[in-house]
Amino acid sequence: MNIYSDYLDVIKDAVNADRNGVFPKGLAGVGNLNESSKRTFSQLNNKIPQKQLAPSLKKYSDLVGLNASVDYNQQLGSHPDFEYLKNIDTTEEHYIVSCFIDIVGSTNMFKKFSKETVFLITNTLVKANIHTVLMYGGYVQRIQGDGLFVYFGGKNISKETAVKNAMLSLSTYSFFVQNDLKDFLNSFGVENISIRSGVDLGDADDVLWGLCGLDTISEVTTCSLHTSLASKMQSSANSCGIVAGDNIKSNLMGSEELFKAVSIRTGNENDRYIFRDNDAGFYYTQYDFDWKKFLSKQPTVLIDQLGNLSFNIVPNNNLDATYLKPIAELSKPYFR
Amino acid sequence: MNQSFDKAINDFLDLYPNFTFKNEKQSNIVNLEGRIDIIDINGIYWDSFDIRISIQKSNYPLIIPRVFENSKVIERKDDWHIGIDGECCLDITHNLILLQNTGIDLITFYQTKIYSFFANYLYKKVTGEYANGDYPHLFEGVKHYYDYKLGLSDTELIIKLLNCIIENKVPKRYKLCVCGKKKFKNCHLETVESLKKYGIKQLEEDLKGFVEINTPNTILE
Repeated sequence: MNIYSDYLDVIKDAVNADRNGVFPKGLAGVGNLNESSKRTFSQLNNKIPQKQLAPSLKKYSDLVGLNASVDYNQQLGSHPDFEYLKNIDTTEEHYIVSCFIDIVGSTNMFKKFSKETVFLITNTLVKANIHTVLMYGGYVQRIQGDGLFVYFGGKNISKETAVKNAMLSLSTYSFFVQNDLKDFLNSFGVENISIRSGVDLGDADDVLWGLCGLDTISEVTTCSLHTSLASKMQSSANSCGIVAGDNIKSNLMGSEELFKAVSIRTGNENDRYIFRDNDAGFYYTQYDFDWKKFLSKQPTVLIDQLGNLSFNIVPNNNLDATYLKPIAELSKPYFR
Repeated sequence: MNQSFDKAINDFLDLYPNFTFKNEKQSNIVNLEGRIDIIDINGIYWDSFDIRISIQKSNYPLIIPRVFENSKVIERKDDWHIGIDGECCLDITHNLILLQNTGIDLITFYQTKIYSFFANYLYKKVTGEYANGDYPHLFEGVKHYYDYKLGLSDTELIIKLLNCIIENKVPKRYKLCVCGKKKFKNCHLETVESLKKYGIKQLEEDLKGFVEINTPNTILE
């Protein structure tokens, strides 16, 4: 089971429509889309449901018991546990996990596809990302181009659970981009499409929640070194990588081996710390997070013969031995 | 320190992170314990097994890992090619010796011998038979192997060939073959060379079996 197949299908259909000239390339100076193209565009753009996960993701979510808590009525810039701050002239200290997820290299798509196709692709990626976040109980604070600024945590969830959910969400979406999306777009000559994520946890005494902005031009947001660092660490990540702050490492139980200082990858000791305060003697380490290993340790994720991850956790009732035979016939057992 | 062993273990754990490394104190045996998930080529999940792969460290890669099924999903019956202790009979000993002679690659061994063994178990559960058949049990399997792999079905000839190797009396190339038909180089030279690869210990065991079935009134266990 490919849990993102519905999202990928929209992207594939959009690319196929583009190849068939349904969306004339804007750079060719062609004017408005004709009625048929508009219909195709609209159909594809609305294929992913608004108020529920796409079927393939929903099936997985139901199987592992995640779907019950999905909140589809969130509003940007208004975390439900802190939205009261919109109406009160005060602030609150509360822990939060901040995540920044961005697609890298998406600009290259404009070289290959029309703006309509690029819109469909990026919008579907954003939807897949939002659904992944919602599935793991996260909150989307802001959409930034084809990336997201996301919070995990709140009043009724422990710090440790929020950290774990954040890492599951980031890892699952990274899996999609690396395993499904990258290869597909590569086959159409769109190279170097990737994802980068930065994540960090700020404890209550390091995070100030408040209303930022003016009247309707405002959002409830956090002022925190660790939100800032999460954004900064995103740019430290490699292709499909997740870079996490030291607080994440400390709160993801039993997973120490999944974190390696970024300086080990880059070979540059300057990259070890994402933040230094020499006067205070405060040095904050950034880590590459081994999300493949993290996912593989989840009971809901499987590994196939060749070491590929699979999210298909429940035995299929319609097993067809034809598809098992090529693997099975490598074996000829003997009893002695 | 066996560097090729350390690299093999690290490469394996990188590819299959759901396994963990367990080194028994002051032992030459290292265990990899984890879950093997059987997924077919269509991406459909079939079942999982908890297994232990027991690997001899010092002689790696000239070893054959032993594999134990810990989850007890497979019924401990001869027909399922598994021992009471859960040890899985991945292949006939002779094939494993050939593999050991050339040295194994741990990941390839996992993919082609271990993973396929459990896939084959599930295949038989559904279809009633193994995908590629299985060897007859005990010495009948050895007889079968000599026949299809070496083209040897005449027990008396097999005994002669095994004896000449074990007793170090292999004829010179231009002398008469042990079967007495032609010059050795034009007769069973190639077969003898193939047999030698199994090692004297295995050939002695095979000889014992062939002598027993060649002796009238012998009932094989």
